Order: sequence, then structure tokens, then C-alpha cells
Amino acid sequence: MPDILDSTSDRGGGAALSDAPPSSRRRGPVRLLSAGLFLLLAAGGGGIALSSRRVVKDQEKRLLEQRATEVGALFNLSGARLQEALHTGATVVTLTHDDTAAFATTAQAAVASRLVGAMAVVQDDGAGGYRILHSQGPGLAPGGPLPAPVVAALARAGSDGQFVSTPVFVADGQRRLGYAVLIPGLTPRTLIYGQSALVQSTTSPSRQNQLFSDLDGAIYAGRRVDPAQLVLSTPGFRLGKGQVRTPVQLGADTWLLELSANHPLVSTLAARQPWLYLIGGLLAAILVAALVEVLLRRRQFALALVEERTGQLRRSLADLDAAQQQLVHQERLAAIGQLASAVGHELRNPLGVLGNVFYLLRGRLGGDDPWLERQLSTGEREVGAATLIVSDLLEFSRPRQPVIEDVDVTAIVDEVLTVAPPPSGIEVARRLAPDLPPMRADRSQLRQVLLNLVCNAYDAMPEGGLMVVEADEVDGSVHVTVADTGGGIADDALPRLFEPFFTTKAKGIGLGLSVARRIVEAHGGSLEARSRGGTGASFTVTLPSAIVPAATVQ
Amino acid sequence: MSAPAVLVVDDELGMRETVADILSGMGYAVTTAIDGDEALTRLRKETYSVVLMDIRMPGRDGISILRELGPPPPPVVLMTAYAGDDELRAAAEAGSYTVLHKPVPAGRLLDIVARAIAA
Repeated sequence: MPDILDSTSDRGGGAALSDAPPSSRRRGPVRLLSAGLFLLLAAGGGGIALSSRRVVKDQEKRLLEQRATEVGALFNLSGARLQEALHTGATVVTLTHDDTAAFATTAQAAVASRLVGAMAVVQDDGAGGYRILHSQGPGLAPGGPLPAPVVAALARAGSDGQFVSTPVFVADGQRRLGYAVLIPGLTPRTLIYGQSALVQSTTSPSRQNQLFSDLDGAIYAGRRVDPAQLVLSTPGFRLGKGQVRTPVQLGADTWLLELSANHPLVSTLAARQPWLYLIGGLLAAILVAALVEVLLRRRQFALALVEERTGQLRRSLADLDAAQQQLVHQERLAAIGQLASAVGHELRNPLGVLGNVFYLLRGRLGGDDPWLERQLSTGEREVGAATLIVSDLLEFSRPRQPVIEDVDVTAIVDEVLTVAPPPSGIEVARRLAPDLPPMRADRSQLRQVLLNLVCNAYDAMPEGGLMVVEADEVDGSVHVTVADTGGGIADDALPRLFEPFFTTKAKGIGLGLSVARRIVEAHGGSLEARSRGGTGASFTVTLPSAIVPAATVQ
Repeated sequence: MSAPAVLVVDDELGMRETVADILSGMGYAVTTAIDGDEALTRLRKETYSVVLMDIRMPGRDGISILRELGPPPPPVVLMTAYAGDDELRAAAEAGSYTVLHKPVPAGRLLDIVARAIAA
């Protein structure tokens, strides 16, 4: 039995375990791991996106620099043409010994081709200035002086034929720019000077478009970003904000070219690569994190399931073990029952013979001698008690279906009192209603029930007392009550009175009342116990009578 | 009118003799048999008003003897210390007058015998 108790408590523990939903445990760490993986992968994607963005920017810058070189080359080309025009002028002056007409033809061609706004032959006046000898084009009148920035620039022109340029200067309210080459071999110093008016950048987009193509940019006379020295720029270009600055050579001078790309130079796909990397990385992070989460949860669920199943298995094994123990216990009980039954059967014959012997002895010897009478009574009573024990045992171990017949209540009560005569000190009162109908019962079993009740009543009154056997009929049922004046039944014993092997007596095996109730209930009747405090107890057998109740007949 | 003849069949000596003595004491003409075969022999030769017979005996048992007796048999009161449901049913089907459960009190025994003869 301890095994069964253990298994029960085990079951309680198992139930408590399985009450908690399996997935609720360790859910936190699972999320942490997945979230960590997500962040890691997302960060990786972001990093790749950033570095690829840098690559794209670098590529963009390289492309722009390449374009700047191209623009610079283009600029050089137009510078070279300008230079060539001036050299042509110088050559014409040298070859024609300063033939005005020949120079004019050459200068007019240069002005007409818009290489230069105006062209002149200028000569050192020996006073730190220059005098215009001949001129073609607007802004340069013969005999007129040249502005100071121009004079400073002309001083730099040497016999090497180098082309020099002036800074941007303002004359007659116009921004202008000048260029010059020295005509070699003439004294005083004589130069070919060209001058252009700088138009506002917005007004002549065509030339700029030629130079800058699809880019934005500006060119400064000089090495620095200086709005005052702006030579030309594309419309809307913000001076000094170019992405690339590169020096360009114009004759002896170095100018500055500033460029910006107003649209991506690298291909659209390449430009979008960082975003693709970022989105791809995020997607991969989400996928991997979700996958990990799912796998972990499945594993966790499986673990919980295994745990639960293991618990169930363990409980099943415990149950099985308990059941086996019980089976063994029952088998042992059954074996004992069989033995008791066999012994009981074998005792019935000798007990029967003893009963007969007492009967015969009483017939021959009884009557006058009280001493002999007492001995015979004792013998009969003890044989009756032994017989009852055997009958109860047999009835308990192998219950028999009642064989119903009409049983005369008075006769059976008398027979019981004969088989179990009262011990000395106990008075018996029969209060049987006249004209009792027969009971519908198994005679032998009913006798056993009444014998049990009568013997119990005797046992309840060791000091002597009164036993009353009453019988009457009410509504088609016969009630037989056996009452004693003994100590009554304790309150705690009352509910257990009819349990097998329960007894309040010092002797006895505790089967009588349990067997009696089983028999009465197999008849469709009832057996009730009542205790009158400490002044006695009564047991009532109720069985159907052989007479149909009058109410039913009507 | 001569005393009614009763045949008592029981393999147990004590039971056989005490039952015979109880019945003799009441004036019956009692004959005894120690087993089924002897009982059958006697029943075929002589006439009895009632037969008291144990069910379980060595050799043929009380119920098979009851079946072998041709009609009209005398009332046969069977006695048993064992009677289970099957045995009781078999006894009723074989035509027993009644079945008594051992131990049978002497008063009850005499009562049944008197009734069986009267029937």
C-alpha cells in the first residue's frame, strides 16, 4: 500500500509540472538570442551598405576627377587657340614690319571667330605704361592707356613667347580679361594684346555648355576660389562648393577649375547598391532571427513534450506497479478465501453431526436435570456460534444468489432462538404480530441474517439484559427488528458497522453484519442499524412480504 | 398403518447415524445407505415414503441418482454442505423435493420429512 501512496503523491507532482504551459519557460532567453542575431546581421548589412556607399562615393569622385581632367583639357584647347591667334598677330606684325592693314585683317578674323573681344598692338611708352599702336574690336582705342593690372601682367611676358593673362579687371563698367604675347626682336617692347569682356554666366550658356557639358562648374583666373576672378560658371553653380578642384594651365598662368556633378555619374544600379545591401541585410537578419526563434521554440516544445511524456510514463509505471501489487494482494486474498471456503465446507458436516448429537442427548437425558440442561444449552449454543462463523465466512468468500420461497416468520424466529438459545441472564421477548404473511426469502440465508442479529444482541449484553424480537407487516413489507439493552453503538462506529472485518467486539472476525446486509440487499430489502445512545441498539430487516399490498390490488 | 419408510443416504458415518437415530426416535422406519450405488439398489427393490440424501458422495452423487430414478420417484430431500448456485439449479431441475443446507437443525429436518411424506 505505501507504493500506491507514493505513486499518488508522484502524480500530484507530475500534474503540477504539466500545469505550467511548456513554452512559457525560457521564453525570455529565446527572444534575446533571436534579437541578438537580428541585431548582429542587421548591423552587418548596415556596415556593408555603408562601406559600399563609400565605394560608390569614391567611384563618383574618381569619375568627376576624370571629367575634370577632360574639362581642363578642353579648356586648354580653347586657350591654345587663343594663344595661337595672338601668336599669329605677332607673326604678322614681325613679317609685315608693322603693316597696319595686315594686322587689322588678322585681328578682325580673330574677333570674328569670337576667340577674343578685341586685339591690339601695344608698345612700352618708357614711362611704366603701354601705348596702343593699332587696335581692332571694341574697348581698345589707339593711343589710349592700359589699366594697371594689365600693365603688371604685360611685364611678365618674356621673349620665350609665353602667353600671359591678366587678372579679371573692370574697365568702362565691364569685367574684362586680357592676354598678351611678346613680339620678339622689337624695341621698345611691343606686344600683341587681346581683351575680352566677361559676360554674365547666365547670358551665354552655349559656351559653358560646350566646356562643362553635363556638369556644373566654374573657372577662376588665379589659383584660388575668388568670385572677383570668376571667368565663367554654369548657371546656378554655387561658387566654392564644387566637389572637385583642379588647376588648369593657361600659357604661363595657372587657373582653377571647380566642378560638381548635378546627377550621379555612376550607374543607377551601382548607386543603389548600398540600399540593396542594407535591405538585403535586414531581410536576411529577419529571416535568420525568425528561423532561429522557430527552431529554438520547436526544440523547447519538444523538450517540454518529452518531459511531460516521461512524467506520464513514470506515472503509468507507478500505476502499473501499484496495480500489480494490488493484484498480488487480491490473489493472495483469493487464495486465503478459497482455503477458508474449503475449511468451512469441511466443518459443516461435523458441526451438523454435533448438533444432531446434542439433539439426541437432550431427547434422552434432558428435562428434569438443570445441570444437564445447562451443559446441553451451552453445547448447542457453541455449535450454533461455530456454524454461524462458518456460514458467514462461506457467504463472504463465495456469495450465493438467494433461492426465494415463502418463509414463515414465526417459524424461522423460533428456529433461530432454538439454535441460539439465550445465555443465562438474558431475557428474550417475542413480539410477533398475529397473522403475519410469509416473507419472500431464501430460508437458509434469512436464518443466517437473523442468527447474526440475535448473536450480536447476546454479545452486546455480557451483563445480561432484554432482547426483543419484533415482527410486523406494513404496506407489503415485513419488518423484523432485533433490539437489545446493551451499551449501544458508538457514533464513530455507526458508519462503519457494515464494513467487512470491522468489529467492536474483542472476539469475532467482523463479517456478520456485512454478510447480513449483503444478503438482505440481494433480496431487494434493507438492513438498518439504530443506536439508542448508551441504552441499546436495534437492527431492522425489511423484506417484501408474500402478500401484495392492498393498495396495489385496488 | 405402518411407520413411513425413510432412506437416509450419506457417506459420513456420524451424519448417517445421527440422522437415522433422530428419525427413528420419531417413529420412522429408517434404512441407511453409504453411497449412491447402494441407495440405487435399495430404491429399485424397496419402496420409501421419503429419501434423505447427501449431494456430494464418492462415486455417483445425489443429483445423478435423482436423475436415474424412474418416475414416479419418492420425494427426495437433498442435503449439502457446499451448495453453490449451479448445484442448487441442477438439484431443482433433477426434481428434488427441496435442498437443505447443512448443518440442518433436527427440528427443521423432522418438519421437512413430515411435509414431504404428506405431499
